[in-house]
Amino acid sequence: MARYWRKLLIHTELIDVDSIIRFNPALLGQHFDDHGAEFGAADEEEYERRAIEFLISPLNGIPVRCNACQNCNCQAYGTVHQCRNGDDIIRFDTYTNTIAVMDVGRYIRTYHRLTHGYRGRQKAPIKVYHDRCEIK
Amino acid sequence: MKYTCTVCGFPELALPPERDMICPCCGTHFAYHDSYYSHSELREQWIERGAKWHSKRTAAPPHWSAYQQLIRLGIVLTPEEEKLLGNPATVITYTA
Repeated sequence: MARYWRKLLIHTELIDVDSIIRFNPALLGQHFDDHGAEFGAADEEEYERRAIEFLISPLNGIPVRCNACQNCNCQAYGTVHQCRNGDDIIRFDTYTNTIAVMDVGRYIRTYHRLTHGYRGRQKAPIKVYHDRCEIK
Repeated sequence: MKYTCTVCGFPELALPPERDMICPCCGTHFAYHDSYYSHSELREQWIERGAKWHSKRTAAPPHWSAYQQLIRLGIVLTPEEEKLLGNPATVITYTA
């Protein structure tokens, strides 16, 4: 029986959705513990599933060069921005401040929400994202 | 291969302290928390909070000591920090 392969364009790369896209098992547990509640995820499976959905969801909108900073190679698709830095593909939704990182091995490294500061030090979420996108 | 946390000195990290590794000991989310603070600032904050074990998932090693771990990392603690962490060297044991 012929198998239907779905393909999605993620940052100029064709990614086979049916191939392994999963949370890095060495990172999943602690990331769920620390960030799962941000998405109301009941367990690791739900947290991982939401991360995958976020990363493979279509990039709606016309891709434009993000001009929020001059150093990143970010592209903006509506509210969703995406860049590649080294081995990482980083996706950020400016509407929900959700960020996810997937490496070239198709392993998700993180999925969480950025806040406007951490322990009293303020920084805009988009700036945190752009720092992450800095070209090495 | 194990890696050492550059914030707290925990020597049993499964992945290098970078790119979204979360240290089970001090809770530092690398490439996130250190985008706000330097590693030394994060270390100071961890000590100020009592240098408690972060992870509920990964248990602390038997006889784990934040003080010994920081000393092994080469961190020079202030007297206040030593007092906060309960420096074993300051504990006086009286023998008969």
